Amino acid sequence: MILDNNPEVDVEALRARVAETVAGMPDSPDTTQLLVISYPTLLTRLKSIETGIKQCAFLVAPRTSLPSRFDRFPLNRIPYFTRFVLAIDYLLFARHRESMSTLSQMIGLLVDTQRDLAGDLQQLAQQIELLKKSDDE
Amino acid sequence: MTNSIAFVCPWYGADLTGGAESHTREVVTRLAARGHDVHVLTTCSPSFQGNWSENFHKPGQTKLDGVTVHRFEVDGRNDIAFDVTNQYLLSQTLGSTPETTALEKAHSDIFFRENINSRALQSYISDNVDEFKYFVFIPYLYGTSIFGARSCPGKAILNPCLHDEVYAYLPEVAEMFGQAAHVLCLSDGEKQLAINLYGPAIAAKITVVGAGVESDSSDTAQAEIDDPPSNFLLCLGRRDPGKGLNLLIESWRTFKSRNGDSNLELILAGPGSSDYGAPDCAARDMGLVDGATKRWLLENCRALVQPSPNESYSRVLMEAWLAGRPALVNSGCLATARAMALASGGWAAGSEDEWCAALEQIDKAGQEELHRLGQQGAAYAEKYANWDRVIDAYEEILLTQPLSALESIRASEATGALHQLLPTLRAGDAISNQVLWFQKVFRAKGLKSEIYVKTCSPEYSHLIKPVDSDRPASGEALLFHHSIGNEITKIAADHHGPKALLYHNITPHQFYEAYDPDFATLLKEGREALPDLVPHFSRTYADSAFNASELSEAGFPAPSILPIIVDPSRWAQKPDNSLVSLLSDGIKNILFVGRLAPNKGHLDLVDAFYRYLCLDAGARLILAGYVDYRAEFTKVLLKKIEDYGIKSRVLILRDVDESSLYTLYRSADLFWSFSDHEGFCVPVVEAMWFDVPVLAFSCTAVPETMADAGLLFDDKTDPKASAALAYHLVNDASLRSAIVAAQQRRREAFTIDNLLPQVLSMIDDFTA
Repeated sequence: MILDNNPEVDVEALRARVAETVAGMPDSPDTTQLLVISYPTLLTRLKSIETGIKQCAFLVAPRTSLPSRFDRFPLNRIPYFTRFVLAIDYLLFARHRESMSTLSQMIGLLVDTQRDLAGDLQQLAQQIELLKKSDDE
Repeated sequence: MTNSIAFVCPWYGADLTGGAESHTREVVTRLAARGHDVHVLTTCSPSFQGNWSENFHKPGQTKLDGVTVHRFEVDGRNDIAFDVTNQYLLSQTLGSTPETTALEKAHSDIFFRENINSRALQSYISDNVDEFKYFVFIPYLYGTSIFGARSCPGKAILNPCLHDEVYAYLPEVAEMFGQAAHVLCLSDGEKQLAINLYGPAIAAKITVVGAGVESDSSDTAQAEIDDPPSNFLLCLGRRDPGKGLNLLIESWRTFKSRNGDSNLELILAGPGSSDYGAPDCAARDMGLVDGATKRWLLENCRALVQPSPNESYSRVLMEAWLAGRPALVNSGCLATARAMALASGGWAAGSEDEWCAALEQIDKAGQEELHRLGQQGAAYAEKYANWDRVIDAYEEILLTQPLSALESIRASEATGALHQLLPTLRAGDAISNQVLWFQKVFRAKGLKSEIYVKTCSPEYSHLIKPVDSDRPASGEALLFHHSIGNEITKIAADHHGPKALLYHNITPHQFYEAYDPDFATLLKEGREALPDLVPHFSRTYADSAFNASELSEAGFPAPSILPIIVDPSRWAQKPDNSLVSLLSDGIKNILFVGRLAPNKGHLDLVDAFYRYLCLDAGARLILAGYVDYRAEFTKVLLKKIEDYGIKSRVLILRDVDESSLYTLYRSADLFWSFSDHEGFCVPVVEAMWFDVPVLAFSCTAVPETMADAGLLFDDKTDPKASAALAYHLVNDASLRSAIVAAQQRRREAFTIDNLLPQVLSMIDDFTA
């Protein structure tokens, strides 16, 4: 039900037009004509993956400061404590970071390839459109 | 501090007749007459019609009507390159905004490089920045403004006289508007055009000053007209096709062929080389007329017709209204159509058919109706075309009032601290923006102010203090932003010192029970713990009356309402060009902004959009907001989209920064919300700033935020009806404009200017 919150809209007339439109509508659209994935969808998904990769790069960088749970008095006043904790952290997670870094690079490569493929497909679609037009003419 | 004001224009002189030139002259002489130190920085070029590289006037300083005029030599220029480029630019098809209009940088470079320029003038500005309070650049499209404004960052004020023409779409112009300290517009229509072109960020720095119309009442000369007409419409102004004369003449011909018995005449008066007086035009062309004749025509016409599609301010429209006559304007011209909508002083028409119908309406209108419309127009013109009021507005901006709301805050003598505590500070988050803005206000008041958080996004890490390692000192004031039950609630409750709770609402747990029972429990505990906080907070605030009612139910006495500020200046960055090109493909974009969460109504929205595709199979639904792909709700939503077979029509954007959000709103044809629970609903107001019609399910705080703007519905059980309604909002231009007009008024309620007093009052509560 359309509400009459906006005094500049003739709600009664709008309700009548909506009812008329609904009366002529099928129950569902013809989805067989729709592509599985559109070009904008594909590119925005790739962009989303790239943002995720950037976030990974931020997270896997070696620490330069103490985790917040250790960064408090008196721990952060103990000589060499910071260096010690950072060294432990580095040793414990070095392989993990390396694997994350490699994984990020590989996903980046995949994204680049997908983007190239998407570009090719887009060009192909444009060429088909042009061919259709020239056929029509 | 100096109070001298410099007006920078390409040409200046007592005998110049152009719109911008005569406006500048009137403003500066009237400001000087009020005792202000006003300077004009201009070139030695004679006029717009003259040679732009000719030093006709002598360089140097003179005094003219109390105004100090500085003239500077113009640079040499390649006028052939300029003319060719200009012709090229004029032949280009314009998009809806500069970013969707493909203009090559090489062309705009030549246009401004070979424009009227003066290096001596630019150097003078750079060398004397401290000698002037502000530099006012008028009009926008010449080298004197483009390069001059760059010489005085922070002090450049634009008085653009903006038109909807190709020059307004050049990147240099968009950049100049973005960097200007303030913008002075001659009409509401010009302001709206600037917002349409350069985005809502500049809205906060625009003031409509108006433009005066000289009254010739002292001129007692009698008009001498051969065969004076008795029943006529008057078209006054330059006679050329660019002024919409062809539309008028064609409509007039149709009107005459349909109404052969009408004795109504069409009189054209004004300069111009085109001849519209030929018999086949069926009009009487009087050419350029003297002042007395012009006055007689204005006072005795049935109505003024102003067909021009492109004005920043229509002087003749104001003249007609001041003479008490109604007018018919082009609905495609923002400046005149908006003035007409605000004044109700006549009619607006767009197509030839509409013009013809309007002419018939005027022909049949009684004298009483014509008089009533004329008087309504006169009331509007008294406000925006009265020189005293116009100069008051210039004085207020240039000499009295601080340019931004923050500058207007006076630091209190009391020292102290007012910190804020919240779970997380995230880029692009409405509450986070509010927190950052509060901090600026608190600091402007002279208070120490830090933001304590549990987590934050990387770009904000330098702005916060982690609450795990740092706490507000005992005795210092604290504002706690409460939105969910968590461990920082205890920190806030235990804090010793003056404190207040600002409630942003907690989502009812029922929404999450089917998808995330653990989170539902957390929400339930958060709500149940609300009454336990009553003894700890003597002052409470809420974003909306809806949130305030929840606080009252929990036992908090008399919570105050402090709405969320939606500051359009946050969209001052460039758009995301990759998204612009993706979304400007002619497909209708339907947008919803909000994290993928069970209370946000995504499932209902997808149901309705599926039916919408029955009406427009090419439409696109954009869901923008945080997505947790591991969450059960996300999986359910994605499955629904897949089952419907509409994956290619639904775009889910997870990482939406300000630049992407700006682009999404700029590209959207409808903001469609089925959300079931909102404590305020910021995206609704954001959409209003981009003139995107809002269609929203009426629940919780949504009707309060929307008020009389947008359109609400209260039944979402029939997705076909919802889809049909959305279809009409997307495709019906008159319905859209009615909705957008109301939204343009409503969005002002949440600006810094309007909400600053409430924030200052909150600070007073703390410091009292």
